[in-house]
Parts: sequence; C-alpha cells; structure tokens
Amino acid sequence: MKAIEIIGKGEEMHGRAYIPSGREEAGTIIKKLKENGFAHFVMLSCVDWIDKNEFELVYHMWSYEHKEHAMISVRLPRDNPSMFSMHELFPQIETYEREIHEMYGIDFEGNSRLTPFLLEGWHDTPPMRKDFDSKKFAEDVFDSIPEIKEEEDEGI
Amino acid sequence: MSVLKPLKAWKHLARKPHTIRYPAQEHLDMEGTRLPTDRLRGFHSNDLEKCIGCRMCGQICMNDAITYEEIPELEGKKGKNIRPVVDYGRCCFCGLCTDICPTNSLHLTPNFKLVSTDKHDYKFMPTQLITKNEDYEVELDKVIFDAKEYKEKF
Amino acid sequence: MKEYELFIGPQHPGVTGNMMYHLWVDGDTVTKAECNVGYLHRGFEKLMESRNWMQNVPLVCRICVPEPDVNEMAYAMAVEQLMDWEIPERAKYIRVVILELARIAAYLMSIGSYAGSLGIYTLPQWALGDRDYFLDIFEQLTGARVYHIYIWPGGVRWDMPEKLPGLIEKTLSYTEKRLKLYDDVLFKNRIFFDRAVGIGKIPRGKAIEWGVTGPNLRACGYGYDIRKLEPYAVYDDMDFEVIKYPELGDFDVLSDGCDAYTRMIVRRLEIEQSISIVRQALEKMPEGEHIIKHPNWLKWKVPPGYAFKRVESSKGEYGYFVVSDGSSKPVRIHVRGPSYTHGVNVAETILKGANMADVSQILFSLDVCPPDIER
Repeated sequence: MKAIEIIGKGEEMHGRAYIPSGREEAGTIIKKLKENGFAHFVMLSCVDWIDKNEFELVYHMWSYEHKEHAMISVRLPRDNPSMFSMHELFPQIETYEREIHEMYGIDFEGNSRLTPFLLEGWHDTPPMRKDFDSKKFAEDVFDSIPEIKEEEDEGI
Repeated sequence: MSVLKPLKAWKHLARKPHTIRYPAQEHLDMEGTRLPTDRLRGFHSNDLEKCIGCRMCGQICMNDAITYEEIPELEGKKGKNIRPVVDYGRCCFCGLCTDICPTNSLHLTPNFKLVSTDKHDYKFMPTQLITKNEDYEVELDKVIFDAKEYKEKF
Repeated sequence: MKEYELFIGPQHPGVTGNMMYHLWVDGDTVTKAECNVGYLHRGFEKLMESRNWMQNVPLVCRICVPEPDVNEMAYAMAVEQLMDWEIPERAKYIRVVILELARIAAYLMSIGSYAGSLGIYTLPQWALGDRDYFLDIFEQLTGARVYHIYIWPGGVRWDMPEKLPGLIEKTLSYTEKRLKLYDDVLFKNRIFFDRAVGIGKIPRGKAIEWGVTGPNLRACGYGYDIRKLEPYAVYDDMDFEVIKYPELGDFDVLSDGCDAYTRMIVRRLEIEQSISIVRQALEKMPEGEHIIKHPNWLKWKVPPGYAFKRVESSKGEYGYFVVSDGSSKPVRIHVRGPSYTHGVNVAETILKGANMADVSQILFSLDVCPPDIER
C-alpha cells in the first residue's frame, strides 16, 4: 500500500492503511501524507477504550490521486489527555477538535477556539466518555420535572 | 436567458393542485393505486391465539414501548399467558418486533389513524381485529383492547 | 466603525434548518460569521453505543432527514465488512434504485429551498409537491415515507413489489417534464443570473484542503465522486459521467466556477444523472434473493475491528466509522457528515465579506443540513 510505503509502518485493514503512531510523531506523519497526495482530511474520530484506560484518536485521510484511505491512530492516556492541534494543516480539524474537547475532555494544545460547540453550560463529565452514565443523567435531570396534570384528565 | 420565460408559471393557474383534501379525497399515487398499501408500517395486529408470549418483541424494542399483560384465560395453552401491550407514545414503527416474532403472530397493519385527547388511549393490547377493516378506517373502540375482555374463540 | 450583531436562526426561513449563524455586520457587509449549532443535538452516537447491532438500524436513518438512505447504506456496508458478508446481487440493485431516488428527492428539496432564498416562491411549492411523488414510491417500497429503515446489513428488508418499476418509470418521466419548467422558472431566469453568479466563492485551490465534498467540490472543477472513486453496491456497472464545473451541458458557463450559480447548476444536472442511473438499475436488475439470513438479533456478535465506509450523498461525502470489540454492541460509531465542514468552517470563511442579502442563498447553495453536524 502506498501510505504504508510513505510512512514505513502500519498494516492493511480491508483495503485501508492503519498506521499506529505516537503522540509526538503524529504531526509529522500527517504532514508527510499531506505532501504525498493525501490532500483530503476526512475526519477525526475518538474512541474511548475504557478497559485499556486509553483514548484513541483516529485521523482519517484520503488521497484522490492514489484512491487510498489512511487511518492514523494515536493512543492517549485517559487521565489528563492532551494532543497537539493540527488545524494549521487542515482548517476543518478545528471543529473536530472542538467537539472532541467537549465530548471527551481531550485538550488540544494550540487550538485557540476550544469553545462549547454542541453543549451549553455543561459542567458534568464529558458526555461521550464511557464512564458517563446517560441513563442516570436523564433520570436525575428529567425525572425531577413534575408531571403536568391536565384538568380534564381527572374529570373523565 | 430570458425575462419572459418565468411567466410560463402562470399557466399553472388553470391546473389542479398537488394538494389532496385528505381524508375527504382519496390519496392515490401516480398510477391510481390507493395509498397506504399493505406495506405501510402502522398499528400492530397480534393473533392472541398464535402468540406464545415469548417476550422477544419486548427485548428487541429499543424504545421500551412493549410491556406485557397477563390474560388468565390463556392458561394451559402453548407458551406463557402474557401478551404484548404497545405504548404508541413510544413506538417508532420500525417493525423490528414483527420481524423477530418466532410465530409470525405480530404484524404491522396499514392503519395509522387514532385520535384521542386521553394519552392512555395510546397504550393498548393490539389484537387481530384491526386487520379486518378492509377500508383502512380504524374504529377506536375496536382497536383498544382490555385484557379482561378476552374471550376464547369458538 | 459601527457594527451590528445579527442572529439568523434557529427559527428563520433563511437558514437551513435548526441552526444559528451569528453575524457581525458593517452596513450591508458581513465582517464575521460564527456558526452556532446544538439545537438539534440528540446524542445518537452515544445512544448507538448502548444498543445492539440491529437496534441501531432504525436509528441511523434519523441522522439526515431529507436523504436518510445514505446513512442506512453506510452503516450496513460497515457492518457487512466486519461480518465479512457478501450480499445478494439483487439487493445491490435495489439499493442503487432507492439511493438514487432518495438523491433526487433530496435535490428537489434543496433546489426548492434555494429558490425560496432568492425570493422565487413558486419553485419551493412545486419541488416539494413533486418530491411527494417520490415519497409515494418509498411508501410502497419500504413502508414509510421519510424514515425508510429499508437497507439492512445483509441486503434489503423486502423485495421490490412487482408493479413498482412501472410507477418509478412514470414518476421519473414526470420529473423530467417538470425539470424543463424548473429551468424556465429558476435555472434560466434572469434573477438567478443576476443574483447567484460569483456569489459565495470557495477558492479553487483551497477546496480540497477545506474538506469540501460532493456537488460543491464538483462545482469547483474537481470531478470527484465516491460512486466512481470507491464504487459501492453496483455503481461500477452503471454508465454515468461525473458532472463537474466546465461541462455544464445546456447551461451557460457564466463564471469561473466555485460559486452559488455553478453549485446549483451541478445539482440540477445531477437530477438527470440520477434518473438515468435508476433506469439502468431497473433494467439490469437480476432475479434472486434480496437478503441473507441474519443470526439471532439478540445474540448477534460482530467480530472485532475497524470499518470505515463512505457513500456519496446529495450533500457530499458521508462516512461511517464503526469500531467493534467483538461484543453485541458497537464500541463507537462516528458519522462524518458533509455539512460538518460545509456548515461550520467553509461557511464561516466564505460568508466573510458577503452581502447581507446573500447570506441565505450562500447557505442554501452549500446545502448545509444541521442534523449531520450534530448527530
């Protein structure tokens, strides 16, 4: 595969290159791939591996020239996770980083716009983390709202 | 490029509108088939005699819309004597419950009209009565089924 | 310099759904724009982690309202890849038919709302009325008008009814006739030329770097279409040409691309392209099975791994990243919506310097759809 040849490591996964990378070298890998035809940044995903106590950031890139997809995977510890921002390479990464900062609590050094994106006035655990119990949250927040009783309800 | 071409739209003044006066007017498709057809996912119909009360439909339902009620008269028949009760305030009409049904007793019917001001009317035990209406008109008192009203067939 | 702050949305006909743009305006010129979303956040991605593989199927289609089938398709393909399933040939053709019909329906909606943003209020009524005939087809094919829940992992839910191809053909030829009227009212209308040419330009050299996809990218002159780049279902069997900027068929090339005018013309031409693909798929459709046998849904376990599948929607590139750890529930499903880039970064950048009156037509020409930003 082309992406694996460029970087010199990684494995093929159903026709897509999967490149594990360290936290520091990820920037160099993405820059190198961008210079070698991987011009389209598809998305930045985050996976919470709670058993291994790790977050996995997956940078998806696509090359229109080689018709190839590359996934660059960076593993971060779950306590105080932080990563370098790459919004200078691709401007739309800024939005993905904003969302991941909000939903997983990962800090991105160098991104000056880590403002609330989807949530408003959120002070709880970041909601997409596996240890956030959404059922308990719903019960705490919505069950405390008293049920509205309509007058006709009782009469008939 | 033309300034006058858009004025062609004026000839639509003499045409019939897309809008249909539902339900006074029938909803037909382009070929004249009456809609909804049998495939539409509306209210459930359940053959209480065939149903074995296996609780599969309640397990696959991701909205927790299906609960169960006991019918003592069904004691001694095959399976358990519980039958599903559907809360249509929660149901999303995806139909996974009908596809998982091992006896094929649970179906979705093309009936979807139910108007009531009481929210409890939307939670009832579906029976087969609902499929018998040929003209797709749902009659409320036929649809709503109380477990106490169950009478054995024959 | 005096500046006004303006808020368009979330309840405003000039903005494309339940989202808000915060604009700073100097006179008539926008100096800064900020996208504000969150009104539609339903937490689907979190919800999907607590449901099993089959229970997610009725959920994914709710991510995009005008064109739900692309979501079902991408999710189904990702699960099929993890399960290593080969789906029946007939199912692939039925999938192409429904995907292309949904694409036409989505384009009709997008063209209609774009015309509304220019003040041509005839076309929104027509386009939504004509879209309803497509919903009639969906109703007979899938059992629902909007959320179809039809493309399942392993095939399609039901076989195509025997008399449906006739109805589809009739609807398509009706649409072709109507498109000529659309041309008169919008695409060859003087107002459209005066308002849309040169408005909302995406710099051509930046388009790919900014993550622009779909018709918006093709309007910039790059002939990239996922149906050609990574053919899924049976798109490699279909005969169609990718429509891109300088080749606009009957329509005049009035600008050097990348603007609202070219984007809308590309959408208009792609309706005809989709019509031809539906006809080809109906013609070539083989007989046979429509779905493979599923394991017990309640105990269905998917082998561990990563799957990423992309489809071309009417708005751009849809991608599903599905991670499984071998259990009966997914670890993570991440959706790449095309509006994520178009609606936030691209719109914020190209709205800068635009005229206040052009804001809504720029947003509609980008076809921003908030449900896939927020999921």
